[in-house]
Amino acid sequence: MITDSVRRGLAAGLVAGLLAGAFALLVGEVPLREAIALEEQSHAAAHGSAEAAHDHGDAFTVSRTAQQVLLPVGTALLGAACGGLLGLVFAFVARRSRDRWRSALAFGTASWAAVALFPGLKYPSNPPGVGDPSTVEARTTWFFVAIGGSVALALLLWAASRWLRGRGTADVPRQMLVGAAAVLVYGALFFALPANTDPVEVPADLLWDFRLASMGTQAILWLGLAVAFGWLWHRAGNQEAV
Amino acid sequence: MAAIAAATRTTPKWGLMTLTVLAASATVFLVGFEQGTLTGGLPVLHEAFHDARHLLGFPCH
Repeated sequence: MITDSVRRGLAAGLVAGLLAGAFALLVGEVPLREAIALEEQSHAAAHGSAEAAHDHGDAFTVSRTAQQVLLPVGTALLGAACGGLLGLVFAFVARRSRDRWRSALAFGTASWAAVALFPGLKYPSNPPGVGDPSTVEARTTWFFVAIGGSVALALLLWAASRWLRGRGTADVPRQMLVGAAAVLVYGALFFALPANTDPVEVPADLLWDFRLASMGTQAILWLGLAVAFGWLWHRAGNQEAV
Repeated sequence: MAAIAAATRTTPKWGLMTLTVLAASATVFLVGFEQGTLTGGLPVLHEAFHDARHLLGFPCH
């Protein structure tokens, strides 16, 4: 069960990651390219020479082509890694599930909300040219805290829901109660986390396009993973039944 | 049913579980967070996965 679940998670994550990478190349690269062009313009203007446009390349550069080629590679690697972890945890939470397709969809969607959606709403992704290099460590730390806190709350709510079911609480009041608790605790975490105070000086429409593309990339990665993972379980179940 | 019962009785595979967690965490770190510490200060991985990091929402720059 554990080996099968991890294997299916890895395969599903790889496929979903490649799909997300294709979307990112087609849709995400458009605002990304614009943002890089703006960044280079403002650098050139600030330093008064064309050469200064590449000043952050003094230390080390990877060509734009290589960065674009590695975009689907990165999303596929991240997809496979998340898929492997998802498969591992799923082997425990869905041990007694009778409908693994539904369980995988529900668990995959919940994982997306906890790992990507909530942290992404609190700390939205930014295009190149935004972000103070001196705050990158603090921003990374708080990003980690947002993911960790969000996952911890999801596990807590899941445990509370199981406990209520164990006590014989009917489905409708139990789900309403857990849902209301989720709104409260996630709302509290959202306002407890410190804001990202870095100035954002790119045009609003460019920022919106970039964030939408980023949210879309992550949604395709996680929801694609959930669907592919559920389908692999469903297919395995059908084969066992035959 | 017998197969399901046998599967649930199997003891957890600690080796496999540890390997999965370590390999997955290392991948997430290398793709998403590494800022050049492992490559002698040059941000090789940061630059290589530049576009992927931005679009996956990791903090950058």
